[in-house]
Amino acid sequence: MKRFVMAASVMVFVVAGLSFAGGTKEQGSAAASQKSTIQFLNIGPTTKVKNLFEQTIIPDFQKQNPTIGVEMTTTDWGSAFQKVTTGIAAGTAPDVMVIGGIWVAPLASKGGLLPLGQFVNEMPNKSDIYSAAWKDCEYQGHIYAVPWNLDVRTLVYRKDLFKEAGLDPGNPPTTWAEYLADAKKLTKISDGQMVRAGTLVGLDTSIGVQQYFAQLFFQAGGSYYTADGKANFDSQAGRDAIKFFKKLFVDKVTSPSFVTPNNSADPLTLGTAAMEFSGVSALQNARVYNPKVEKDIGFGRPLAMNASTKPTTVVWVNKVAIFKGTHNPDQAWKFASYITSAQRESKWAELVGNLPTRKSVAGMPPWSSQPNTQALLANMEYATVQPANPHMFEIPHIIKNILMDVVYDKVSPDEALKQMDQKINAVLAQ
Amino acid sequence: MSFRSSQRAAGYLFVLPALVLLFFASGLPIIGIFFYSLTRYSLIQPPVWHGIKNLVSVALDPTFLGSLVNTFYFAAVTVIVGSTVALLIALLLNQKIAGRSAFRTAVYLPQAMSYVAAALIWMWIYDPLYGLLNALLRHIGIHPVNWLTDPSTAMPSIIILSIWRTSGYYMVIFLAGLQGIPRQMYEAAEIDGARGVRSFFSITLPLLMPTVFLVIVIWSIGAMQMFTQAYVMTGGGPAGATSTVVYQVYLNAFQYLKLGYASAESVVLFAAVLILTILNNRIFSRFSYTY
Repeated sequence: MKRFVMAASVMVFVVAGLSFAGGTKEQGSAAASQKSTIQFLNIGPTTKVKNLFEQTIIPDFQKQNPTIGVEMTTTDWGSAFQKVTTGIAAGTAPDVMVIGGIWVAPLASKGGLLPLGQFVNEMPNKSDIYSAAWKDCEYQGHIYAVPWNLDVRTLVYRKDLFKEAGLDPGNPPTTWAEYLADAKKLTKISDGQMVRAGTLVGLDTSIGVQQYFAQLFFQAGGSYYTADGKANFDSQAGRDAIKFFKKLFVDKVTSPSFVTPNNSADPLTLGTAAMEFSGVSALQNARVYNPKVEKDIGFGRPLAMNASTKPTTVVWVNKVAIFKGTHNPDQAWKFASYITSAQRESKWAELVGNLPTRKSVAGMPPWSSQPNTQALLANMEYATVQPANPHMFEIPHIIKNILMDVVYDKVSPDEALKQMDQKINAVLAQ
Repeated sequence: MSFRSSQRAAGYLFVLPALVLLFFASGLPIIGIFFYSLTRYSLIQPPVWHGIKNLVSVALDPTFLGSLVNTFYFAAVTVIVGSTVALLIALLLNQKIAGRSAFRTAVYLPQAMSYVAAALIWMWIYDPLYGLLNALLRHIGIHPVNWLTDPSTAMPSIIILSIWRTSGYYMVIFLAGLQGIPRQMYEAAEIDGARGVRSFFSITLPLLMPTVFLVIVIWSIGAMQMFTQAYVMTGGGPAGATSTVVYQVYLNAFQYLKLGYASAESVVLFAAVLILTILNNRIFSRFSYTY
């Protein structure tokens, strides 16, 4: 009996302790909610960016807005989407959050983001932000985010390898035919093994190959969906794009063994590939893993299918959005518009590593004196975005898997397009 | 209350916190998975009743079925080859040889490494141009292999890494089993003229069967949940060659926000693991010996 009493006492103590701990937390959060404090989720900041926000941008904002407190949390890009979605589901998402390239439609369609139309309409210099960047913030005619930074894809190449192959590094290819011809000259085979690919096609452990194909598809004049919302890959543009894609493998100017690894030197940096469709990340990769080749990285114009068609490329835009369940929408907007303003963007944009979203910032130092940045930003006139769709996380995987079947001759290019339409339509019907 | 029942009550009270924790950490999520498998659920919006439609779709989904085949292939080869390797190493390191402890530590060491770190290191070993493995092949005049980028070699490459990473752990379990076999058995067998291979098949293996069963069950359950290697090294590719059920569950749940569908996939995996464990139990119960 004595033992029983002792055990019961221990249990009561443990339970009381737990309740006390829980009670304290609840009281704490109740007190915190009385303050007009904005939670801000900053995804993937470097230490320098984090310090800039903590030591300069947020304190400056609070000085101007003494009634609004800001608490910044950070996370990496790898787990960010899960954190944002679980936060939205639990009603605990940050008031203001950075979101990635194709996140708007998947989150907005499920009621996770606050429509920002009324705020954005009152924004000064709205047109200072690239129009393609704004397009990526829209879903069903409503704006859900403000552009934060961007990366525009284009033809990136190694000037030294061009010279070595007898090509003019100042005259990179601009059409599919020129691209293929140059890729053939740049490809290097040794003992039957490809030791340098003429070009990379975005093969990685994620959806890089789909992003590569998307550019070919847009260059061929394709659009993902028909007017009635059905998948539109089994079209003339799709056929042109996928046949050219396949030809790169048949003509052996690329190989499925040339995969771009995560967090590592990419083949362009290593010199095992001479061209790729990339953006500012190619420059960053060279800077980190092989700085001596940074000067040899060249940026061309996005390709056109032929001389009579329009060059086209895709822009990836990171944005700042507001959680629909925020209790402080006005304060959240104040903070979102503050950090995305030209004055603030000019401070942090270079540290983030991507390109600025505002034309005025692109014209300021250090951007104005960087020829590579200017070359990249000049391509914004050819830029489009992948169409917003609530299933935009699943559709690229479908396309990628089918493209890989084409690479390994599991399906013909024509059959692949039929499969894309069929599978994507099945997803759209859900 | 009698002394006996108060003892029992005290016992229950002591295990109660652990049971509560277990219920919330494991029981509730398992019940949740069964419930969500019958719904359409995007995490952000509330679940909508969907009946058995998810399970039917999963059963007809070629991507899922391909992943299920990959999962069984991975589990079967890893467990069979891996257990054999682990047992052979355990037999070797159960002998009185110089530096035995150092060898045991060396074999166990990969287990101390995180799977992500191991996968990153092996990605370099498998690199087609700069990898150690292809350098060795070139040295002996064999054409390099695209280990992780060829659909026919990607899964075997992951299996090799997995066996390297995990066999040390199971070697320790086998060692414990081997040391539990009474010495007298071998002495009696030796008097009867049984040594070496005969002694292994007539004494060691039969008496080690409970350990073999334990290793195979635990390793099978673990192997059926293979995810990290595919996620880090191949992203389920090339052409779906290394996509496993858990990888598909991850994609559907956390990338596509189709939690109902992902739950249905998990239910199928649960059933597959359950059937495999029952089969293992049936097979190994025939070979169990007591002494």
